[in-house]
Amino acid sequence: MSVLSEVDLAHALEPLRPDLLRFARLQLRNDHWAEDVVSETILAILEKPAAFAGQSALKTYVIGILKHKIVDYLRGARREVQVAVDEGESDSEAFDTLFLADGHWRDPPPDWGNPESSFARVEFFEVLQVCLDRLPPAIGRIFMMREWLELDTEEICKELEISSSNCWVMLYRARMRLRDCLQLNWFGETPSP
Amino acid sequence: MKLLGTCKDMHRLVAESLDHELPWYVRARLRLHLSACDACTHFSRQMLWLRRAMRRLDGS
Repeated sequence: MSVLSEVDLAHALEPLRPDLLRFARLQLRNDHWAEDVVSETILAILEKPAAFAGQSALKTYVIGILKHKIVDYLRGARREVQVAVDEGESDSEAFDTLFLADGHWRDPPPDWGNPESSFARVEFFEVLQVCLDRLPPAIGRIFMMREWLELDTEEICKELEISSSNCWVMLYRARMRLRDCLQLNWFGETPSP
Repeated sequence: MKLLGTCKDMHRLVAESLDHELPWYVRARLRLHLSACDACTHFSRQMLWLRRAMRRLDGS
């Protein structure tokens, strides 16, 4: 694969900007920071067009760089990315109602079947994006750090300066909310009240 | 049956197991519960399903 000229690369990158912004917003929960990080990502790539030569998919390569920039950003902006640990306190009550007094599920979780059937449809990822957007900011941030940036919980706890147990609780809440959101908006059944 | 644990207790461990390694005796108890509980087995699959979906988010 030949090296793209800087001009070609700039043309190729522009259509990706909305997607990059979307991911950056999901992670950082702040439009201003998201804009900064995306601009830095694009600039970094344009500064070294030769670094892209041979990569099979521009989008994958660009998102890889974006993720690194976001991780660096989160590490540098530690004090600014405050995590409200008590966010979603009402969740504990909401999740309690999923169970009967004897500890059994009120509504046993159904089988969601083969994921590939859902992933084959573009609408699925649109629904997933909306569900991610709906997470409370601090919970959404932690969840994205864990499942999108794929950081270890140890590192996340260290970066955010919260205890492991707080980390785990927030991730639990994120997973439960997402599960609920997908159940309702993708699989089409109403969740338990 | 106390050994098997309740779904309410066990489902949290299922979620947590995605984020850190559980002590071996907790893992054993969880496995025992899952072997006897379809509901929690489905829940466990849902959690892994979600993780897989997140891995594929970039490719959409």
